[in-house]
Amino acid sequence: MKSVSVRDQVMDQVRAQVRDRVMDQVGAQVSAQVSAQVEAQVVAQVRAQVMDQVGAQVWAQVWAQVRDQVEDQVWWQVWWQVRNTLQNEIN
Amino acid sequence: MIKNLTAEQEALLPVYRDKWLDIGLSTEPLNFEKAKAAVCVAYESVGLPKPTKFYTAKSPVDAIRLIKNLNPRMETNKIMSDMAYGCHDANWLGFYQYFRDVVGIKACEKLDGLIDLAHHCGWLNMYHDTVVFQDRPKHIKFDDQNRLHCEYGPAILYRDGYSVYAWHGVTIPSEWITNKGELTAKIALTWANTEQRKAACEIIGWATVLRELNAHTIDSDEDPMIGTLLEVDIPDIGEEKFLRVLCGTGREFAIPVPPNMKTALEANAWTYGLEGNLLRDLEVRT
Repeated sequence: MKSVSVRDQVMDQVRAQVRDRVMDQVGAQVSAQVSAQVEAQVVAQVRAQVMDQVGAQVWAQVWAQVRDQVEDQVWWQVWWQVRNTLQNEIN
Repeated sequence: MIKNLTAEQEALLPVYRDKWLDIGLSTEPLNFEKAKAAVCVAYESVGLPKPTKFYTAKSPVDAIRLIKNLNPRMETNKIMSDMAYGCHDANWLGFYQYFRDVVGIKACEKLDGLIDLAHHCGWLNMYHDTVVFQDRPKHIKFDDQNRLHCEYGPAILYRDGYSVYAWHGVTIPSEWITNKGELTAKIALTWANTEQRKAACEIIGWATVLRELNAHTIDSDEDPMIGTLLEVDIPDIGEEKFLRVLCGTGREFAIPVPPNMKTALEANAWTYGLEGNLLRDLEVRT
């Protein structure tokens, strides 16, 4: 009985060490977010280049007739409401 | 420099608007394989190595739970702030796709991965080598003015049951819909958030609210569009005046008005920033 108990203890320790190591590796991967790099930096570059190539009137026209109208319904009615509800629940 | 759009380009503006409204409001399930391929293009576009680990979550709360399991040290607010919004980024992705496809601006091709991604998933968290995709909502419901709204259930429902309840664009506690009988005039009229208070009164029905509070009539105009001035004693608040009036669509409303109002006409005019007789004159003219 005693030998089984020692084996179980050793196995538990090994499992715990392996689990901690895996968690550390996975944790490191999911702590380094790249959203800003993939999204915000690219958008900033693209925006600057589009603004260089189109006049203010064209920019405003596309903004009003595509961006604003999609934003009204998708961003403010759906995204914002989900985000706001989630944030309130978390707080 | 492009100073004007051609007629052909202008004709495509509503096409792109409608296309991206459809993408943004899509309730299709997550397309995992296509989302994986698209996010890899997005990583490569900024010189990052492709991620190799992909997880799926059924809703934003499921994603938070999953990421906390992957890294218990991650704080919830940090996970939230790291989220990108996939299909819900439709407004600005559609804007740049128009410039890419219709105006021919090559620089917008850097967004190819993100544009493609928006077609296939909801929100997502992008980390070094790891991406957590979220499913899109199972349903999204609006009123006839495109405001988030559902009278008999959640206005937004995810596949794991996570939901948002809304009344004509105002988010409300779920129990106001799931257990309407518990919502009383007293709860409604003493609710701190004024937009939600108005929603609560509408859910109960203004006529019921005023009846429950034994409102007494101060003045009733012969024209139902001018309405009736009522006074009620609201618990914990005191005496308040309301104008009960029919709108052009035949719906009954009760609008809080200042305590110095003496007639329905005066109160109705106040809602337009006018004086009573001037409102009557305007009505005669129209």
